[in-house]
Amino acid sequence: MAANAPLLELRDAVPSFEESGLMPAPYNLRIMPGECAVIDCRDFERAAMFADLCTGMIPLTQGSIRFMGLDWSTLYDRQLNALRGRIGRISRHGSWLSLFGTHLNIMLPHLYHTTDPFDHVVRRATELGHTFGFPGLPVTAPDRLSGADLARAACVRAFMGRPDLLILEDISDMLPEETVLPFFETMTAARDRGCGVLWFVRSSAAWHEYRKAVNIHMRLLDEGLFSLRVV
Amino acid sequence: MSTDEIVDPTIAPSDQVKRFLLHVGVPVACVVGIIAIIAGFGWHSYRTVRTGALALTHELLVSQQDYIAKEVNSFLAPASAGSVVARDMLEHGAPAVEQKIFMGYSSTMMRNVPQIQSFYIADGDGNFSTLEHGENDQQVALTTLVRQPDKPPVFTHELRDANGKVLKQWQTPAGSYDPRGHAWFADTVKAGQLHWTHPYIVEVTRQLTLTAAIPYKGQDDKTYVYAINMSLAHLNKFLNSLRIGESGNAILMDREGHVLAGHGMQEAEAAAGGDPDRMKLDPKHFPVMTKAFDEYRVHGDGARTVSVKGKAYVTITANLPVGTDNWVLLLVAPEDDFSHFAMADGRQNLLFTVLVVILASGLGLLLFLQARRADRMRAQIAQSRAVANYESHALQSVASYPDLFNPEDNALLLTETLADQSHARRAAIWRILHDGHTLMCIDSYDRQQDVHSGGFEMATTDLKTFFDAVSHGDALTTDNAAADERVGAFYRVYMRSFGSQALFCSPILGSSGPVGVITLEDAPRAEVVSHFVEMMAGVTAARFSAQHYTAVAAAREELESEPSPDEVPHDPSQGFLLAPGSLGMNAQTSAEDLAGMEGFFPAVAIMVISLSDMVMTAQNDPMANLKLIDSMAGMLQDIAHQCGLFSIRMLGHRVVCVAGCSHTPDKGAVFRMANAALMMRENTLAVLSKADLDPVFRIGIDVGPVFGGMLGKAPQAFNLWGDAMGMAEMMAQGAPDVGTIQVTEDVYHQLRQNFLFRERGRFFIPGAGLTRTYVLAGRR
Repeated sequence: MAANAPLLELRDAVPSFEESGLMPAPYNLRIMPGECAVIDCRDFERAAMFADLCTGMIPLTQGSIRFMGLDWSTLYDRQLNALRGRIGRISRHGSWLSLFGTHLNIMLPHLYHTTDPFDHVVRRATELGHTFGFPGLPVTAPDRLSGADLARAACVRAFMGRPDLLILEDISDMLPEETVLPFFETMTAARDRGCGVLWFVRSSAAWHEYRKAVNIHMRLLDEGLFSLRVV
Repeated sequence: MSTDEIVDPTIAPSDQVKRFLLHVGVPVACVVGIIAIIAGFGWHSYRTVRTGALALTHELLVSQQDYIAKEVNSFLAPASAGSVVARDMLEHGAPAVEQKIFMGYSSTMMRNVPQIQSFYIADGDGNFSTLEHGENDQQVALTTLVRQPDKPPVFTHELRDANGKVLKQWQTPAGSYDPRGHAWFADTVKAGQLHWTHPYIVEVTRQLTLTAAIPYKGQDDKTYVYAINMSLAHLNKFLNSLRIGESGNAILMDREGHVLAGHGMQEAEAAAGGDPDRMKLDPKHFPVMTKAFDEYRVHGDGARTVSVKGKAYVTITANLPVGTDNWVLLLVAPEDDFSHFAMADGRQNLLFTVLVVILASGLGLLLFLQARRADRMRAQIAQSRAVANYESHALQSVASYPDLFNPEDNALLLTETLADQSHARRAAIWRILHDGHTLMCIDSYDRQQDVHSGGFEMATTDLKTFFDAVSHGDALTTDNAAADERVGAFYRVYMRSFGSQALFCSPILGSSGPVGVITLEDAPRAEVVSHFVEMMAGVTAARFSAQHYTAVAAAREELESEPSPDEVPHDPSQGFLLAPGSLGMNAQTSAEDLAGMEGFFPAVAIMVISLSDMVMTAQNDPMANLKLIDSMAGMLQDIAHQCGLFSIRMLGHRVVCVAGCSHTPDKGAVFRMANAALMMRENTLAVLSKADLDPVFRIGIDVGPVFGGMLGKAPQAFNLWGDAMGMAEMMAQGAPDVGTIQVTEDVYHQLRQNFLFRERGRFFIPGAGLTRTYVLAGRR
């Protein structure tokens, strides 16, 4: 990636309506390394779909989406997978595999994409677990964890490794209040490292305390993506 | 971006395989194609030539067959024609001169026709005469049998010369010999015309003989048979003398497969023991002849090719009518005899082709190697371009750093860029302090952990060799720092704990010589980017010269600085809300002998109450806060008294309660602690709700062995430490929600009969392994 290039750039990207249900309007978004973009969206489904769009999982009818200078539509499967490995994502709908313990769910992406030694991954996951209020690394299957613990685990999974982009769907209603501060801290630490953040929120309460550090504020409506002024 | 990614998405999948196939597959396919075409042409040419040669061969064999047929006819003609002439002469001659006619005609024929062996004449009365060759070519031997009543039959033998003069005469008894009993007589009389017998062996000469016999009526109205015996030895000799191709043969057989003459005659005769009926070809010794004859029996006469043991033979069979019988003439020759030149021609062509192909392959290989080399060069150029690009970006980022030459700024970017460029595990910048005897680490960056550190100092005395090398401005590269004597000491002091092996050192040269060194540990690309490292060394040297302070002075200041008088150590005992062992109940030690409370406590229940920051900031009025905390502290003391706890200590935001601190396990300690926890929770919740505050505490309980005792001089402090302490704290920190009590598996096992628990889940805790945690809900 060239220096000073945008981390994520949607340039007149028109998603395929048949495959996404998103309005086939041109979407424009530009996130530089270290920037945080907050996107207001009332509809969880639409937010998740837009997150999918940004991760190159929805075909476009026109325009382009580039992440770290690479156009999703021009990459091969191997590259696509590797590039997605650089994204940390909190998904509203979990995407948990109940066949494995939560610890594997947390570590699997990092183990799959990198050669990081196993011990190191475990240590990092445990540290993040402590940060987000776990006594250790949860081993129980995800479907047996409480909603709050699952939200904690989602945070741990998203921040594992050194992601270049964080796509965070709104789980503020599930995340315990005392975890909000570690969440902001970890997000800020990632941003200091150059990681971009795309943060979907349902209400302003979720990001009110972080307002000063937000660079971009947009609203995702049926009609498309609209820029709002950052206060 | 993680440095240890398995797949780098910026690198498009290599088309190396495709290109390799293109470079190898196309030339190979071309060469194979050329070989196939040449081989096809060669094969076609060979087939054409072979077919032509075979057609020619067949024609040749047909003409040879005609010649043989004529030869056989001319061999047999004297017998058929001669017998007819003799019959006419004898038929019209007087009986008195019959013997004379027979003698004269036959002896003339015998002298002029070599294949004639003998003549017979016999009548219906059993009289018989035979004329044979005498002792030489001019002599003839006449044997006569005249039957006279009342006398035994006697052969009268006469040896005559060419003029008919009797040279010798003698008699032998005829025994039971009667010509009428022989086939040549009986069959001929029966046929009533010229009759050819089957070949048979004459016992006297042991030669295969053929007899042509013709009957006639004498003037005395008796039936006579005149017979001419022909020896097939002549025919055999003729057939064997024929040259068919280079190694071909001819054979004459009758329709039943009996060998009459030609190739294999002697063997067949020997195998049959002289019996003409058994003189057949042995398939073992004459497989080709046998097969050709079988083909003839199935398909009739004509030219064809048979294959035996993978070798092709040209055969031709023809019918030769002999009397009422038919003989079969069989010619066999290997196909190679005729098409050999075609094969030789093909082989020569193939040799030329192989030479051409080898040359073409060599050229193809050269072309391929050239293409691969071009590919490699292209990849190298692309790689060096990418490296240059990457370096220029790195340089750009360094150059654009606003405080690059600001001595107050740490410029951490330098070590980060160095580590990134050289792929080093750790990059560090060292400075030789002005005293010239100390090496100080300005900044060290651990790429894997993404952390910076600095400030280590190394004295010359410790690292003499390394320091010498650095102060001389030498660049060092070693793959095994432990074994390298120049950097061995540096390895032991600095690298071993980090676990790095290889070291790359680049000196930082100032205006008056080396002023420091850049070290890169486990940097595989260090030598590739050595020029970049030198550039960074230059930047660092410029930074050093811009820094006006001296590290020595800074160090001295640091050493001379005294702790401020305010920093008087606190009396640890002040943290106790309940002094250790002050209650002295339940077999616990009293305060008096607390000094003896040292050592190992096997089952201590520890509870940690963690108050969140919010309790301190929730209210704006500090006095109100203090009052709230004070009432909570008093409440805790009351509960401790009620439940018989060992100690309560407040440390910042945490309250640590201990029960069961005795050298013998106190089974009731956990129970008391759980009761205390529930009471504390209820009371604290009540207090907070009165103050209109949200719950802000979490409680964690663990039970387990700890060490402890009184420490230090007066005032002594009592302290406990052990796994249970850490776990209790972890339980409090990681409690699932505010106002909840999280306990470890050990606590749960001890209390599950008396308390209600809710399982939270299983967790992996480093050092403790897998464990379950439970939320204490209430009493049963």
